[in-house]
Amino acid sequence: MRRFIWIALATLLLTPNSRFLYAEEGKKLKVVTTMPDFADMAREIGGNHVEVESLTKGIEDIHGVPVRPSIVAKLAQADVLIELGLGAEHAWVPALVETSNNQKIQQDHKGIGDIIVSDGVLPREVPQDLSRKEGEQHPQGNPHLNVDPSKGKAMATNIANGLSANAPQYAKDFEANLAKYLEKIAAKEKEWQAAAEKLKGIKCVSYHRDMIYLVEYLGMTTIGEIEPKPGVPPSSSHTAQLIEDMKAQGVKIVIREPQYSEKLPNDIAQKTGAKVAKVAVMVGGHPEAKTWIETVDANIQALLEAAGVK
Amino acid sequence: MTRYRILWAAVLTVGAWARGRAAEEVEPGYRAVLEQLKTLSEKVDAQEKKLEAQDQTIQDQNRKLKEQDNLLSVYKPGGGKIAAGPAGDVLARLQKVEQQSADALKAATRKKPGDLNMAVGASLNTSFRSFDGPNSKAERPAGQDFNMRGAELVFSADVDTFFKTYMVLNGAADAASNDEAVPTVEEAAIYTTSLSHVSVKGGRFFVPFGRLSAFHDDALPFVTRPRVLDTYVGGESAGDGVQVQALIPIKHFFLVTGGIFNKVGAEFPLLHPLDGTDATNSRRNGAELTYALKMLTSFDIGDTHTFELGASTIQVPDQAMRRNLTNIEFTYKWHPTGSPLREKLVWGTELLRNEVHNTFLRDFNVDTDGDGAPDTVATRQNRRWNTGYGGYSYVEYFLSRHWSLGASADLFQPTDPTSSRANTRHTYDQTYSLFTTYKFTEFSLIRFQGSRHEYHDGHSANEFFLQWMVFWGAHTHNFDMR
Repeated sequence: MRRFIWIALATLLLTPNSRFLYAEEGKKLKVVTTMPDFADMAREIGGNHVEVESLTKGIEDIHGVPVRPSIVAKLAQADVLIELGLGAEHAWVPALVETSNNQKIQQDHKGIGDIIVSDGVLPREVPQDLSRKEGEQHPQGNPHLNVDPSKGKAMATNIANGLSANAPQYAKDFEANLAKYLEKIAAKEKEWQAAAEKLKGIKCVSYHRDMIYLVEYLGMTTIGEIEPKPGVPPSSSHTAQLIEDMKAQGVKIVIREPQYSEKLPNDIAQKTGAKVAKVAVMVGGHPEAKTWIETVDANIQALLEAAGVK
Repeated sequence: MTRYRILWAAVLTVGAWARGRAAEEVEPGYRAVLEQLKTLSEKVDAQEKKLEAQDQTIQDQNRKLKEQDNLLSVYKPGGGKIAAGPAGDVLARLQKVEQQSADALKAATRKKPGDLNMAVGASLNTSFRSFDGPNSKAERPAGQDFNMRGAELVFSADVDTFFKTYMVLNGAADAASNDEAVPTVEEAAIYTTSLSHVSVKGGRFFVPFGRLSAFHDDALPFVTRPRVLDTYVGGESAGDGVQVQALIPIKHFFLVTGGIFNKVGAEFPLLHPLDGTDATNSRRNGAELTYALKMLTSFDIGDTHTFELGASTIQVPDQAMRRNLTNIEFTYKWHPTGSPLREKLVWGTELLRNEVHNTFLRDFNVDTDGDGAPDTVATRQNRRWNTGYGGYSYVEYFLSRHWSLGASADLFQPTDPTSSRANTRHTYDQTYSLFTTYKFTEFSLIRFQGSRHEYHDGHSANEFFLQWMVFWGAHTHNFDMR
């Protein structure tokens, strides 16, 4: 069966060299992001020097995105992969990156094309005791920091630094665009902090434990989650206890993330007199909000409306 | 006129006299005033000097402040040189501290279990089974029994900059071994991580053939592997050898994998040597090795529908023991984006053609060593061949993150030329199954399966399983087991 060997070898040898392709198309940096949030920031910072594509639309569960072969092809062509990190994408990205055999973005080998936006950000809720008894834990800490309005600057700066490392010839443009973007965020932060004054001290619950950063920024308090433990389905006993706790503590808001069913949050809100606030965990969770800044706006507006303090 | 002149001279004389008197009386006060003025002037001079000194100090401070402002404006944590000087020293120290804390934080947040030490995972696959068919039709006797289908240990680690490695040890108990679970090395391989768009793998691992053949038992969507795969491939497509996998660098997904192996299939027999001696003591020639080639592509329709289409083949060229196994596979996945219920549907189908040639051994009892006693000598005679077609299809619908329901059917023509039922090309073994799975979390599940078997010889049997599985430690599936 030598012919099969020859077919295999011929297929490999006749395949165009990938670096050649990159050289031909190398005018723009090909950027792939795991979340639309980073795609928005990469476009703001990268400007005309980047082609950006997000692997998700913003309404998926970032921990369980369907593993599609087409993603492998996209990763294989990418110059840069921007991901949240802290284990948020561990269930799908590592296997796909490994299959892509793209050395630039290999995570285990610290390819410079692998940009982790949470680098240098102090994570919350790093578990002191690792045990699956506590549900689906993130050993490196709660990864959902992209919903935190105060983390925008750090995420954008990491993206700008990463893009500059991959395309030093455009570094000045990236720095200038970053400065403009940071000004935009700074201007918005005044509004967000004013809203935080109104929401300060208001108690809430969420479906999954992915709101801790946003809730802390706004000065709110979360008393629990609809999931008994991260990734563990709600049980009737846990739900009953949560309802009791909410009544006892005067919880006003039930946060529903778009990737979860609205039925149970609505039921709980009805039984406790609380209001449901739809809060997106990624850009795309609010259809009308196309950017990270707009999504933060929409999230805060939803909370203000639910709290009745708008 | 003279009178006026005299008068004017008198006035001047009196005036001069009066003036002299006045000067004598005023001079002490005048001098005191002058002294005061002089003192004041000196004080003003001193103040002016002080002001000049202060002005100089202010200018110096302003210059330093400007210098610091300039430094701050160009200061970036972790980057850029800091100018010498007191302010520069402070900022340099600040930069160093920030860099150190950022590095520590980065190390803490990017550390993974497998970075330096190997990641270890394990799984336990256990079932209760009820089977009412003939003993010869199943891997375990008829009746009811508990069965440890697999106790698996998985180790994986980076070898160095160039390679990764992993090993899967699995112990499964069967009735023939009195339910003693004997651990075997199911997989042990190294593969490259430093080649662009190509990966080379060597060792013992799943040969690139078909889809479910490359799934570990604990990753199957049902309890038992389709019987067509057990029969044609030999269970899991394990083999010792090397393979090269290339992702064709185009925008479309196209994966080509080729490899050479000793044999393929955990249950597939070793080749019989030409001289008829024990196969385990013989070496293969090139034609007796097994060659595999697989091509896989995929298409998305929107974000919701994914189609995968593949073809693969396993070839043993040797004429005495020819094996020609080919398949085409089709997988459809429906995964509505953003479905709050996590609904999903998977429809998987494989069609196979299996062609087996064999030259069987015939024993002769002759005295070959002259000791008067007959010896057993095997010679190659009675060449047989058999070709069969088979396939399976299953659909699994995930109602939520936790519940799924499914149905499967598989059928095949027996192709074992050593069997007395060699010529069974127009009959099929058929199995139809229903199964449901409840996943408590990603790490534990319980599954029920009911199967109806229709055998080509007219026998039939019913089989029921209650399976429970747990996973702990590091647990990830590679791309092939998606």
